Amino acid sequence: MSLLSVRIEEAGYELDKKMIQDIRFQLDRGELVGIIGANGAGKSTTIKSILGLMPFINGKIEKQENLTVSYLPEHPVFYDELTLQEHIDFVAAVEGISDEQLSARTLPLLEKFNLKEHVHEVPGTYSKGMRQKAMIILALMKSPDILIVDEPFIGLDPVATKLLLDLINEERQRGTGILMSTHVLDTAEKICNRFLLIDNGCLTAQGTLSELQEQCGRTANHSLLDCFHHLTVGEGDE
Amino acid sequence: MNSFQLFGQRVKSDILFQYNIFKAVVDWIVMLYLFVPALIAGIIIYRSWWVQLPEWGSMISFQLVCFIAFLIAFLSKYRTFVREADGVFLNTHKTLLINMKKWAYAHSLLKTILKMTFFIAIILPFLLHNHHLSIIEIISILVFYTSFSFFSMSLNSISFTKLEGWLKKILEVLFVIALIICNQVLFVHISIMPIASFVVSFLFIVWSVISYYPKLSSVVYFQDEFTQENKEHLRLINLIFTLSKDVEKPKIIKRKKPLLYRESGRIFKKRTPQKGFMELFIKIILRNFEYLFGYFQLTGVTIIAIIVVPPVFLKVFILIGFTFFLFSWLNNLWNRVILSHPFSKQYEGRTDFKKARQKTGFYLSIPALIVVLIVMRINV
Repeated sequence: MSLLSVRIEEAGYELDKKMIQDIRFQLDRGELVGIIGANGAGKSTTIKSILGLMPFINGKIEKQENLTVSYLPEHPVFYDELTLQEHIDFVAAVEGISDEQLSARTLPLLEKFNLKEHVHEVPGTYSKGMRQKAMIILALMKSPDILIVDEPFIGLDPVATKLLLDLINEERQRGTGILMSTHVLDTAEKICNRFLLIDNGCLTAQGTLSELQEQCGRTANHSLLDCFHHLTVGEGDE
Repeated sequence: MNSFQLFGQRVKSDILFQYNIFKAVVDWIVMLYLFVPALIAGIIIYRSWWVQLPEWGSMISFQLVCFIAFLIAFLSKYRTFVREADGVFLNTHKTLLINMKKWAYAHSLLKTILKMTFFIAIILPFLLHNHHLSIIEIISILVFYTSFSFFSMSLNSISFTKLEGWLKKILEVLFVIALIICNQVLFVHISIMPIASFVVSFLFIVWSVISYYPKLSSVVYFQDEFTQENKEHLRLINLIFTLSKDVEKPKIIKRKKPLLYRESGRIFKKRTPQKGFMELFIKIILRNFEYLFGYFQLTGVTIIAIIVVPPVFLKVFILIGFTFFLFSWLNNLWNRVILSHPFSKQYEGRTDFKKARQKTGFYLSIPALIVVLIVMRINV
C-alpha cells in the first residue's frame, strides 16, 4: 500500500472558486516525487490540500495510520517569542521524542547547518538562509515517514543546498516518501523519481522523466525543462 | 525630473497617504459634526483670550510653557523622504537623491519653525498678559526653542546609533531626563534673556548644521535614513494601531535572546505532549508584553470595581463574572496564539491539545483569582 494516496476532485479558498481540480497520485516509501509547474499553477495549493490547510476541498487524502508527516514550508514560520531550542523542545514534547533521541537527531543537524551557536536565539532575528535551515531541522527531527517540501532551495547557500540534497537522499534511504514542489528543474531532474506537472490547477502530466519525454514526443536527450516547456507552453513556442 | 520636483512629489504623496489614513478612521460625518464645530469653537475661545484671560490661565506657569515648547522641539524629527527603492538607483542618481534630501532638510526646518510659531501664537495672550513678557522676550523664546529643536533633531539622528539593547535604552532615558532637568532649570531662564538666548541659539544652529551636514551630503547612511523615514511615514498608522485593541499589531523582533529563560530553560521537567503545549503557551504569554498587559489590565479593573462597588452581592457578582471572563479571555488568547499558527495548528485535533488548553486556562487564572479574592476579603 502507498504511503499517501491523493484524490483531489477540487479544492480552493472559497466554496465556488476552485483553485485546483482532478489531481490524483500516490506516494510510495523511499520515493521522491517532484511537483513542478509555473508560478500560480497550483503547486502550493496541492500541498496545502494534502496538509488539510485548504478551507474547501472535495476529494480524499489517504495515508497509512500512525505515519509522521513533516512539512517544510516555502516561507519559514516561527513563534516570535520562542528560541530555536524551544521550538525543537516543543516538537519533541508533542511528538514524544525522548531527550536522548532528540540530541541524537538534532545536534548533528545543528552542527552541519552551523546553528549550534544560535540555538538559544529567537529565529525571527536570523537571516533568511538561517531561518530556512532552522525549518529543515524542525522538519527532519521528527524522522518523518512522509516529508512534504515546498521550494526548499530558496534562500539556501550552495553549501546548505548540497547538505539538504544529502539529507533528502538519507531520508529516502530510510524509507521516507518525499513530495517536493520546486522550480529548480535541473536539480529536480537529477534527484526525483517521478514528476507531477501541474498547469492551471490541473495535473497535466505525471511520470518519470522518460515517461514525460515520451508523452511530449521528445528523445532522451531532452531535459526536464524541455518537457516542461513543451507540456505547458506548447510545441510551437520552442 | 529635478530634485525639487522629486521632493514635491514625495511630499504630496506623503500628505495624501496620511490623509487617506485619517479618512479611513474619521468619516465625513464625524468631520462635519465634530471637527468643524470644534474648530469654530476653538477660534471663538482663542479670540476671547485676547479680550479677557480665562480664570485657569493662572495655572499656566512659565515653567509649563517652557516644558511644552521643549516637548514640541524634542519630538520633532527630520524627514528625508527617501524610499526603499531609492537604494536601487543610488549609484546612477546620487546627486538627485542628495539634492532631494537637502530640500527635505529645508522642509523639516521650516515645518519646525511654523510649529513653534503656531504654539507661541496660541499662548501669546498668556505670555503677554499673564507673564508680562515683552515682544523681544517672546521672540527670544521662539528663536531659542526653534533652534533647540534643530539641535535636538540633529542629535536624534546621530546619538547612540552605535549602541544596542538595554544599554542604549538606559542611556536614552537618562539623556532625556537630563535634558528635561536642563530645560526646567536652565533653559527657562536663558530663553527669556534675549542676548543669552540668541547666543545659545546660534550655537545650537551651528552644532545642528555641522553635525547633520555629513549625512545630508552623502548616501552612505541610506539604510538608517530609510528606517527612520519609514518610521515617520508610518507614525499615524502606528498610532492608530496602538490605540486600537482589535487590530493585530505587527511585531518587530529586535531581541536575539529572550529575557526570561534566556538559555531556553524548560518550565516542566517531565516532557509530555500536554506539557509541551502548556510550556509553549506560558512562555509566549510571559514574553509578550501585550498579552501580559491584558492579563494585568483585566485583573486591575476587576480589583478597582470590587473596591469601588459598595454592596457585597455586587462584589460577588463581579467576582463570578470575572472568573468566567478570565477563562474565556485565556481561551481566546490560546486560539489566537496557538491556532493561528501553522506550527501548532496541525495538532488541533489531538486530545492532549484540548487537555492542555483546559489546564493552562485553569493554572493561569489562579494567580489573578487569588489576588481578586484577597482584595474582596479585605473589602467585605
